[in-house]
Amino acid sequence: MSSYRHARITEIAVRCYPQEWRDRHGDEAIELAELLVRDGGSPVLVAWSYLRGAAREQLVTRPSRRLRPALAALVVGATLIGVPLVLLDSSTPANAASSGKVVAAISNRSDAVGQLESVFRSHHFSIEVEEEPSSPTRVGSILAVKAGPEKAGGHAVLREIAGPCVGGATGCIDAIAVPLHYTGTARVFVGRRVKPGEAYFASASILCPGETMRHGGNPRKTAVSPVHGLRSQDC
Amino acid sequence: MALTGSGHDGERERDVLRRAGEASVLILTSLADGPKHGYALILDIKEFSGLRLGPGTLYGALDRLESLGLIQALPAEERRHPYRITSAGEIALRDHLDSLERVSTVGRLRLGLGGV
Repeated sequence: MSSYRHARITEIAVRCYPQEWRDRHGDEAIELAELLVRDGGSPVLVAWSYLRGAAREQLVTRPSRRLRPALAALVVGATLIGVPLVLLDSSTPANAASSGKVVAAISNRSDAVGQLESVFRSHHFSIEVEEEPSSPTRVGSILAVKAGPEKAGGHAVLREIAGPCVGGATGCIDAIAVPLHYTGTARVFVGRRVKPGEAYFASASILCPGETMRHGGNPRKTAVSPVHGLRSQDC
Repeated sequence: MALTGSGHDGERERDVLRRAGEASVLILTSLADGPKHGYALILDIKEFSGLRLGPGTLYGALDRLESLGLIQALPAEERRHPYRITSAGEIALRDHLDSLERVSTVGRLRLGLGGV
């Protein structure tokens, strides 16, 4: 392989990293690749190492948002250095088309809004994500889904998927299944930390002393004592 | 997340380092005798361990260690960024090596090779 070609492959591999990574390490990474190849290292292995690093970096930086660039990095790089695509096939995520639904799941509660928005945007869904103050157990979970008017021929069913709450309580919603060809509009409300003195969303089963109810037919009433059986760490 | 302290905090640091992977241990070991940049790290690690770290693995581990507060980036020298081990990194490395040593001792005894 000519020195020009392996330098080019390294450049392309480095370009697969996020911009902030390139700003910080890009020049040094290219120089390092040159030095390693000069020392007898394989240009293909050097480029492959960068591609795997780029894929990891894209996934770590913003897991759901970066999945496509990460996979693209691996596929582009593998093509460039001659790795058969079939070798990468097992790492490809399940195709939404096979189930007819797209599942927008929250795996990182501190980035719940970002994760949901990323999935909705990538499928061109008109679904907005808004944050609402909530009790500690519901922070980073889906509080409610409000579907708007349907366009002609649209599919109305947005299915909520339950998962564990912060602290181990049950009954929270941490994912939503959207029909692949959903054309309606909707708003998804996600719990966020409460500011001092702020009223917030709480369900009857997880009320803590001092929590103010905003839903459940008892608005703006404050709970005086924990519901029986409530574990102290939930508060 | 920066890690500091010792005592039972050391256990937390050791766990963090264990999760951070083998490359992180190799990098901390290499930095234990002074600051180095990427290329110098790869050469040094190859020399003392026989392992050649891929550059992608190296940068991933450096970023991870820096975010954990176990190493610190020093001012760049042209295109190269040297790193130095922090006191939290030294504690984490020491705890990790102690743990490895205990495992090594038990393993050698059980294999009939005697203690180290």
